[in-house]
Amino acid sequence: MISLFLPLAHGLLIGRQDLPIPAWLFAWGASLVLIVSFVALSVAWRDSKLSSDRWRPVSEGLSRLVTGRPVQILTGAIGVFLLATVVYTGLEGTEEPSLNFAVTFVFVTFWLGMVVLSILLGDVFRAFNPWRAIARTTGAAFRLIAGQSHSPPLRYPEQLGRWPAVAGIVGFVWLELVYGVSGFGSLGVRPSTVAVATLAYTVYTLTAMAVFGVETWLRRGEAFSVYYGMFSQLGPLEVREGRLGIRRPLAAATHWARVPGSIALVIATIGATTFDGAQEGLLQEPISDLFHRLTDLGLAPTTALRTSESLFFALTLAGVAAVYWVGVRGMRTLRGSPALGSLGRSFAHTLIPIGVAYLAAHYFSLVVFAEQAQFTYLLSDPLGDGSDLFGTASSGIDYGLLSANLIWYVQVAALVTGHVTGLTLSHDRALTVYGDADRASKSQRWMLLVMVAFTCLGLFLLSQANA
Amino acid sequence: MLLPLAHIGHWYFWPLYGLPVFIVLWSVIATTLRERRSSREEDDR
Repeated sequence: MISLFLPLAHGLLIGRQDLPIPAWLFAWGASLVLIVSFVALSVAWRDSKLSSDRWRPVSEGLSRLVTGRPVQILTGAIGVFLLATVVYTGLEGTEEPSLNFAVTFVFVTFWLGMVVLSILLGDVFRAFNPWRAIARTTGAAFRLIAGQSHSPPLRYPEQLGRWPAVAGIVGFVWLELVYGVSGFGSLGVRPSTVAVATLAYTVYTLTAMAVFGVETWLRRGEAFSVYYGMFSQLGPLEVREGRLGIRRPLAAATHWARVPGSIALVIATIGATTFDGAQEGLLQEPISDLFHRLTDLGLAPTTALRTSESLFFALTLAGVAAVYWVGVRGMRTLRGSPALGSLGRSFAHTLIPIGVAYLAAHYFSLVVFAEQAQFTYLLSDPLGDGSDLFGTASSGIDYGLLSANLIWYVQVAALVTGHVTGLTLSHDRALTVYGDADRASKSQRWMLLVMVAFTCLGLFLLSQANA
Repeated sequence: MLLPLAHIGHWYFWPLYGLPVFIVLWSVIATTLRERRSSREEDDR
């Protein structure tokens, strides 16, 4: 046993010890599932089934019940109330992140929970979006007083596409994973930082809405609307012109990535989760090395740490982008392929299920544990000052709810399902891009490589973090 | 003497996770090159 003679750091980070078979064998199994799926798609999926834009409205009564004005007012008010609660608890409550409502609510309940709701129920964030509610109320008041609608003074530059939203999402993740790091092994954004960042984002968003128009900014620039809107493309529910309807799951995603910045958004989603996982294992040592070099150069420890983390965060995003573009470049070797940029945009939506898979695999256990806190003691004692509003302040988190093996199996299942879904979307798109099934299958060997690479990377990161 | 390999644990299992990726990569490249060669030969004929 070589490990007996080596001074291993941070315990034995050489894979999970309690599984019936070694963790790396799951990567082989998952790769095999993807290869079999690739062959099955090549043989049996000969025509595009997802490119049609079919949508069927539900009954008018049900639609009105779900999307009517009273519901819009109620959901908007809930959104504004929660926004105000985050700011208030963040500023007035305890500075201990785990005991303050704001931190868990923003980074778990909102950031992760809304992804699940968006896939299952459609673009629900639009209904609860507090900035939309504030802007619409202000617009209505303006109309009432001025007797005319507010027309935005500037036209949104369409070539910017979704890039402002990408910047917002990267900034949000940076705040959580980089700015919030106060030392190795000690993580946590301070509640007051969350509150101030929320206020700053509110001012920025409302200003942009006033300048470019509410709906335009929600479609292109408001980071969370664009982010959750991306995930909602996978689900079967959609509201069109005020009417709720049903569509084929995954089909809407095929039209999503035509706007500039879409590839960057989905890559940022995968890259952010990858970095979070790698921070705990794979990248811990390189980050630590760079940190020590920077402090030796005279940088203050916090600055040195944030600089090191920022650099590796950027490298991770670049690495994820590189894997995708290797796949796209590979497809491009097929004669008669479209231009590289166009090909890249055509297949960007195939990464959305991978983004979901990475989020589910990396944060499943965190959500289960943190939501117990959110709906018990953080609800009863949101400021962490000893109050007990609903009689649940003394409840704790039951860490026995999930066994380590169950967590691992959920992680593997999420990664495999997400990548098989990605492969399916990709194969379907290839049928429309390349015209015939044989050429489509040939092009998809390269996307199979992308899917296998992301699956093995995901499992490797998880095995390191879980060890 | 203690070897400076404190963090080998982070990298120890890399090859086992990388191997499936390399197998697929190698297969894809080999197949692509073979097909290109045969289509060139057909064009020449």
